[in-house]
Order: sequence, then structure tokens, then C-alpha cells
Amino acid sequence: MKVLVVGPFGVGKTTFISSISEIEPLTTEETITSLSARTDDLSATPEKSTTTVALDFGRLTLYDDLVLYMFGTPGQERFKELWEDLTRGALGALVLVDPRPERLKQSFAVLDLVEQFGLAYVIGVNHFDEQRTYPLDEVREALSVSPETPVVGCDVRDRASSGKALITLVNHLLSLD
Amino acid sequence: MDPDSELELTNSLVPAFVLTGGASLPTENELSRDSLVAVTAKGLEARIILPEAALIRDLLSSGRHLPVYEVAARIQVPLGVGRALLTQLCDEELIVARPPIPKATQADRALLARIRAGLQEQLGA
Ligand SMILES: Nc1nc2c(ncn2[C@@H]2O[C@H](COP(=O)(O)OP(=O)(O)OP(=O)(O)O)[C@@H](O)[C@H]2O)c(=O)[nH]1
Ligand SMILES: [Mg+2]
Repeated sequence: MKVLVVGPFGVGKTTFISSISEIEPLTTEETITSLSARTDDLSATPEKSTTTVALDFGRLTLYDDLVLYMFGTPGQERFKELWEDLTRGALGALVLVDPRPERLKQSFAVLDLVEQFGLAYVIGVNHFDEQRTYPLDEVREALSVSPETPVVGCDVRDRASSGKALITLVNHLLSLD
Repeated sequence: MDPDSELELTNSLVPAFVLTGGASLPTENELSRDSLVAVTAKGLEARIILPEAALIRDLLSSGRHLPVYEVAARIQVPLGVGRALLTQLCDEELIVARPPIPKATQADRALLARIRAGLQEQLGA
């Protein structure tokens, strides 16, 4: 079984997977060739037409016959072809966000993709800022996600906290049937 | 063992490496990135020269199915190269591929409940 861990650059995807995975998280690179080059966070040079995307991989054996695979990837419009493979058969996605106002908007592209692909998802708010916490309701509102979509706080460095976010996703999937 | 198999394998694997980068690989029989692969009896016996192919065989020798992603990461090649190699090995019947997991919406409640129980057990969450 497969779940995706998605979010903008530097939001804590790799850290999340390493907290949960029974193996050291593995990173592969995939070369993305985009038809229409755009400017975004990744490419400062607009004419650039191929990009290397890092894909994280981790796994957790739940039972002898049931293995959870976790894939971590950033989400952007031009990674669509990759997402087609990634989302096929995926149970759902954990969308990690950084709640600091200047970082929150970087999550929109990922949320767009997740919705386009019709993935069930929950939002995991990674608590970066030790100084203050951001009320989950405010984050929900800022991201304008539907009221049914769970928004949970998590510390991606902590195994139990990360596990809770995954369980929230599974509970959400169960509630959708 | 077929004395030609080693030669055949090495030769046919070369183009896969020429095509590094994964940008323009043949798509016909190409494995998808999350196909699960396992080694065949033939694969276990074959003499394999190409180091990457030998690594793949070693990885799979426990009998476990691994996703294409994981194989590529472990042998430390870009995903496009890993896919090309595995596709080649599949054509040679040294490994078999299982299609990726069926569509998510088919996941039934019992399975989800089992996943939840497993997570709770494993993660103490
Ligand atoms: N203070 C703090 N730092 C964190 C937290 N989570 C992650 N980090 C740090 O933030 C940085 C980015 O985390 P990663 O897990 O690499 O993020 P990522 O989403 O994989 O990033 P990319 O692969 O670049 O897209 C790392 O240096 C982490 O150690 C957190 O909850 N609090
Ligand atoms: Mg990362």
C-alpha cells in the first residue's frame, strides 16, 4: 500500500519519512522534462526545460503481508507526469505545510495537484516555529481547504507524532466510504 | 546454463545506459515507477556481468518484491536508468514485474482498518 508525503521544498517531507520508515529513507532522482517551461521556486532560469526532482522513499512493514510504502515529493504543475505514476494506487496523501505566513502560500501548488488528481488527503502542519503555534483553524482558513479535510499538527521529527498524522489520514479514508 | 546468456544480457543492457536521464525511453513495455519486481529462477541462476544488474539480482535474492523506486535508489542510479535496466531484465525474464497496487478507491474498509491497526502497533501512535 502506498501513501504520498507531499509539500513544498524544505517543509519536512524527508524528515517525516525518516521518522516512520524502517529503512533509511532512500532518495532517487527523476528527470522531468517539461513542455512549457515556467518560472517557479525551482528554476530561476525560465528557459530551463528539464529538472531533477528528488523522490524520497521509505517503507514500514505493518504485517507480514502488508507493507506501507511512503513516497515523498514536492508538487508542482510540471511534475504532472511523475504524479500520474505516484498517485496511481495511492491510498491518499499527507500534505505537509509550514504554517508561517510567508511559507504557507508555497503550499497552494501542491494542494492544486492533489485535488486535480482526486487524492484524498489530510493537512499536516509541521511546527517549525518554536516561538509560537499557529491555530489549526487559521491554517485551514488560509489554505481554504474544505471543512471535511482534517488539519492536524505534527512534529515530523517525532515518530509518534508523525504516526498520528498517518493514522488521521487512514481515519479520513475510512470516513469517506 | 545457456553459454550465450551472459553475452546477450550484457549487450542488451548497454543501450539502457546510453539512455540515461530517462527522458526518452521506449514506453511500450516500460515498467511504471512503482511496479513491483522480483527475481526469477532464471535470474538467480544467470551469470550476470553488468555490476548494476548483479546488484539488482542481489537485492531481490531474498525473494521479496520491491518497487522500482526502491531498486533504483539502492543501486544509486537515477530512476529513469533504474526503470530502463529493470525493463531490460524483465524482457530477459531474469525478473518478473507485478503491476502496481490497484487503484486506491478500491481499498476496502477491512484493509484500511488493518492498516490503521498496523500503524498503531508499529508506531505507538
Ligand atoms: N525546527 C524544525 N526544523 C525542522 C522541522 N522539520 C524539519 N526541519 C528541518 O527543516 C529542514 C528541511 O526538512 P526536510 O525534511 O529536508 O524537508 P523536505 O521537505 O524533505 O525538503 P526538500 O527535499 O528540499 O523538498 C531540515 O533541515 C530539517 O531538519 C521541525 O519541525 N522543526
Ligand atoms: Mg527532502
